[in-house]
Amino acid sequence: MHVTKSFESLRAVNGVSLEVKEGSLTGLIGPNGSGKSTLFNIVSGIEKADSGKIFFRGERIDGLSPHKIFGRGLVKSFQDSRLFVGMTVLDNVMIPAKNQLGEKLYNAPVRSTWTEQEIGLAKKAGKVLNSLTMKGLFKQSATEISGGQMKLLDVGRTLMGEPRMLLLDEPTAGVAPILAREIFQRILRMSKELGLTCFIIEHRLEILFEYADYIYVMHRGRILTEGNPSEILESDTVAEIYLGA
Amino acid sequence: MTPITSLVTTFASFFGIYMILSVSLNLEYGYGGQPNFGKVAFFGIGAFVAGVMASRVLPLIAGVTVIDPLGPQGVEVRIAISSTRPIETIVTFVLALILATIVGGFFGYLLSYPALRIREEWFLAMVLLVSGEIVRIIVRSYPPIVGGYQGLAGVSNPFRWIGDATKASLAYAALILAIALGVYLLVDRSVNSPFGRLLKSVRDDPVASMSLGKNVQLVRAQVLVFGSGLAALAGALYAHYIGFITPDDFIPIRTFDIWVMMVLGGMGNNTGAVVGAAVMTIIDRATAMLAVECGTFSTLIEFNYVRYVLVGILMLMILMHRQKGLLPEEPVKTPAYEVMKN
Repeated sequence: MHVTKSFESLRAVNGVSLEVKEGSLTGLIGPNGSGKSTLFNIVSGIEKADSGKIFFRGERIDGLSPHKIFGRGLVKSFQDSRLFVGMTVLDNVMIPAKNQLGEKLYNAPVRSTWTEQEIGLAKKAGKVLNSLTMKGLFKQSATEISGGQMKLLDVGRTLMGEPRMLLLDEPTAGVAPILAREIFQRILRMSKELGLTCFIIEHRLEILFEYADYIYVMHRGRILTEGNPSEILESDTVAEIYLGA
Repeated sequence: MTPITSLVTTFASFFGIYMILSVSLNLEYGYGGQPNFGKVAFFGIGAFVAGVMASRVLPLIAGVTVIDPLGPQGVEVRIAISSTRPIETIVTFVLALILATIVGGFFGYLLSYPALRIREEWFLAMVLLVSGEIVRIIVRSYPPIVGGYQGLAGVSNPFRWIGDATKASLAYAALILAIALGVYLLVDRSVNSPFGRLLKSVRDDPVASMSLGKNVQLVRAQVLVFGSGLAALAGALYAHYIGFITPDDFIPIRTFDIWVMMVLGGMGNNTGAVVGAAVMTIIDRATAMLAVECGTFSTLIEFNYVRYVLVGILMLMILMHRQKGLLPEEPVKTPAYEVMKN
């Protein structure tokens, strides 16, 4: 990809060019306000880039609406776990499933058209919840679970959308360090088992560096440097932007 | 007609009409999060379509030439046909219901089209509120539709041909209730499905819904078409119940009455919407009857205004003590829950 995005006079993303290798766990780091979340919003179609091209598995996806990008297998989770608060844990997991027959208005009142598919999806959702050790909470409202469980659910439900690539925006924000490590272990396991590509924004560098294959460092809308975790750890430029050294 | 029969038919008819309106708004806002503040526009559109059908299509189907469909001769012809020719009357009535639903749905899409492209749903609320008044003013100022500000008389009860006013009123009240029940079942089945889950996701967080693969604009448009079509159906039923259509009957306060029904009963709960409609019917009809009775005896209290005071107090009580309404929202009921229990 190579993209630029401005908000009035602020150039949030300034000619960013990067490539995420298929099957890798790639990190995107940088201080607050460096344009990381804006970049993810552009890639997932929530924001439109002012210029530039984005390719996913060889096809251009810039300009596509978010639901079409999702349909191609590129799924984004949010920094502030945006669960559907008026819905149960189970319904939150069921939502991302693709091509649901009962979501069509003309099918909805005719139960026979979607019941079989719904049962299949519910079994799949049960497996997802089981893997998150949350199956017993399926009837709970999404507001009645802990912050850590919300994060897990937010990441876990993306699996229902049969993703090829996950864009995870700070999957461990606001959770205890032990749980943060557990979330990363789950992400790594998902990535390996399903052959997923993961592109992760993360501020907990010590955890990210432990699991990531490759890191991009973003600052003031630009990619400042890139490399494998050990190279980034030794980079003076990175120390400078984080510590002002 | 005895006073008791009159009371029963009035309550039943208004309850059925209010029930359709309340359930349709609950579909749009309670489930879908689309604030339709122009509800009265679609209710009115349904009534206007019924008026056009009764004044133009009924004589046409009956093979009677009408020189002035909106004038006294038109009224006489309509009443004469409705009193003597059941097939033509019922065919026109059924066509009016179907057409009103289609036209209401079409206008629901048309009026919301620009606003649906904006992420902030309250723009939609403003656009629809203004649209409601625009529709009313156009119909009021352009007599060829339903007689302008003078309105249109002679939109008969479709069972007038029975000959007995009591039986005709009872039959029509029963039909309205049956249609209202059908609408309730249709909406309830529609929302207790993956479509209902989809609606709630759009309501709770449209951006998250979009990023999880949902076509939010399409869902919003669908729910507004569906809800507006149902409101127009209620309008057509209302026109045939009241018998006289005037654009000034479709002022914005009616929209807020429908909102009160939904908020009172409980948003996102269809049974709540029905309960809200029942409470509003009782307040509405009781104060209307008291207004007539007290007018006869020249009392100092104007009960038409007491209605607004009562509704205001009720809303305050609900918002203070039961913010989720009389019957709170329930989860979408699909077979998925049964699978998870096993």
